Amino acid sequence: MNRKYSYLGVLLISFLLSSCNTHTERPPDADRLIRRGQNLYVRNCSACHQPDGMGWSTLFPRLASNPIVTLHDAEPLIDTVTYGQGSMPGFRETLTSHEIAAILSYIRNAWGNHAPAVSHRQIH
Amino acid sequence: MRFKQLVVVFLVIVVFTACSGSRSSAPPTETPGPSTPTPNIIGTTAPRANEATATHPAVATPVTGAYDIPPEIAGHEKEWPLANHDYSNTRAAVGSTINASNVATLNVAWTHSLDGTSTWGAASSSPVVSDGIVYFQDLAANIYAVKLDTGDLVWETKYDNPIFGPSGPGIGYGKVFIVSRMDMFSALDIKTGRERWQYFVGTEVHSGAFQPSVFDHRVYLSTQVATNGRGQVLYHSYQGGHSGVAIILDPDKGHLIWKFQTVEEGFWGHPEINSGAGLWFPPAIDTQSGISYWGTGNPAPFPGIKGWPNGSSRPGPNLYSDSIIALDHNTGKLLWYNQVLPHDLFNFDFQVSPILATVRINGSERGILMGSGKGGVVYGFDQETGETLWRTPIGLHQNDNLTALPEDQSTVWVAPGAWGGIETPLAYADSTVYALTTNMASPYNATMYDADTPEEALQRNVGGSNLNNATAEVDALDAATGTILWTHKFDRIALAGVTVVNDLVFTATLDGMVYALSRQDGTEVWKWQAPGGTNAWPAVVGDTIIWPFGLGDSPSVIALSLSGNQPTPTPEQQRTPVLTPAGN
Repeated sequence: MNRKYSYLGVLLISFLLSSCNTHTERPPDADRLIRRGQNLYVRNCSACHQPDGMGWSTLFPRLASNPIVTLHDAEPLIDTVTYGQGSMPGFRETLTSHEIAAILSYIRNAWGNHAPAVSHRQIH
Repeated sequence: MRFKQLVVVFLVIVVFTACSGSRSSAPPTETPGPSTPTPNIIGTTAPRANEATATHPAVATPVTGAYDIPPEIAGHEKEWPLANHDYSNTRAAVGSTINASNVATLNVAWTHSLDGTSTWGAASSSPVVSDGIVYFQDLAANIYAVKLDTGDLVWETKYDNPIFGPSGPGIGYGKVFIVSRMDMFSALDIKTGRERWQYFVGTEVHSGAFQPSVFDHRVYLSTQVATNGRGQVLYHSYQGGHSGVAIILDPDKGHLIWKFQTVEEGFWGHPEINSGAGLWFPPAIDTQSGISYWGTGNPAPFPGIKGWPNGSSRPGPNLYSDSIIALDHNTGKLLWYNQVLPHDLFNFDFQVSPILATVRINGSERGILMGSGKGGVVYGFDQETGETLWRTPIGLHQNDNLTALPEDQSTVWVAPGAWGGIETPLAYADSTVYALTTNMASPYNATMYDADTPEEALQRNVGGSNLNNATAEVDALDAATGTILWTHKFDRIALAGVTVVNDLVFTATLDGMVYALSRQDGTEVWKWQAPGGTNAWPAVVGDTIIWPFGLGDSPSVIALSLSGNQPTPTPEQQRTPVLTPAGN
């Protein structure tokens, strides 16, 4: 019995640790991260996605009120910004993980969007 | 054992608390406001400085003689052997069977995907065509050779180095010449794509380049005002001390023959800050005299940066920015220049390829050059002296004649803006010049809101511009007088140049809607929605138009032909669902 409890405990800890993955962790200084992201967004993104996040035509997707941008799990968004998609270039060579995290945190919390900020540890 | 159970329970509680804490402790995040400054339009306060009066006579005598045309170009006028079809940059197809009576039967003949992307998508230039082979390049410097009639791949050479554009291939003397990295030119064997030589510019003059031309055993290349950065595949714009440079190489070995720097020695007093006069598009080349004619880009920083408002780091006219310049074939010496906008504050490059033409003016034939750029003004110049014959503003102009901006944090909206006015190539036929213009304003401030660097100033200017406020138009002008003959307006931005095919002029809006307009009056004859957007321009051979569509989920080059029989994929069919705009 005791051994069974131990196994159950370890299993529970493992489960909780895995569910406690960094992708839901709020970065310690999220507000500062978002402010930095705003500047980086203007420099790197708004030429296509536009200053108001409204995108253009069907070529440059709208980010404001886009449910994919505010998914609780930011992984698809991280992949797109890091590795690119279609004619959108990936930014893994041009920006640091901290900078990508800042931009993602900004677009997830600008123009009426509300979603957890992204930590640089989530960028791979 | 009980102790172990307690430890386990304790750990569970700790972990659970930590996890739930990390979730529940996140307060609602304050939503930052939009970064676009509030419009504060300021009226005209001063005339533009002394435009078109800085013409200077020849300082050297050009040598004339017989010059050699590469075999891939000579006699190939019915194909598209140069970036703008010919050395005069007319972008007018010869011998094409496409016209207003049959354009509606154009259909997809073949499609070739483009693998590489950069900041501006996957393509920003023109294919070239010779001996039935189409050569084109994506914006990761990858180069492809395919058969014109089938689209079958002949060879491809992959570099996967993101480049700035508008780059593309030039051909001649058995080679294909490209920008293979931001700081490197390469020559490839035209039959196999195997690299034959490289020429590095990174330690010499910095920066990337345009689509090369080949003439008289010379390769004409250039640099913009960008440099390679981290990883040698990136770029930075407007680094202090960077200039446009015309670089003329020997096509056999890649040895330097001559070069010409477009910024005066000393960089107008502050080489640690100032830069500019990039060379973005191929020159016109007079095949009789060998003289090359180039349009140059704007000076930087623009309008200024922290501590240096309104271009105060670069006093004076800032030669040879925003100019047309004539260079001697053998030596590269400056023969004459005409600076159309001294001390430009507003990113008004005079960058598109000049067009060389013979036009009847007041009853006599006269060699003229026509040039333009992001300032939205088309000019006609005398070919011999550079004297301005006419100037015609087209499209939207707003606050573009200011010579200084208020030195506070207020915003002045200026048109043409960051994506205009004339961003992409002109075309010419039958004494008429055609221009595609973007109508859009962009935000400006004397220091670009205390930008730390010229690059940051640029990014704030571009990043504050909104494509949703942009329209476009094609204008046809009388080449003898500059009189506007007709205007055709589009309700959205267009960056695809103009191309003349018989009685039609082709262009496309950024979303990939291709238009054929009547050259007679500008009315729409035909339109076709491509499966992707485009900021590139086509080559035309026979019954086929080869057009890169480098924006969207499936960047590709598409051949439209009167004999094409492939279905056109819709944008929806090619689009993947990730990040599809909400509501669309």
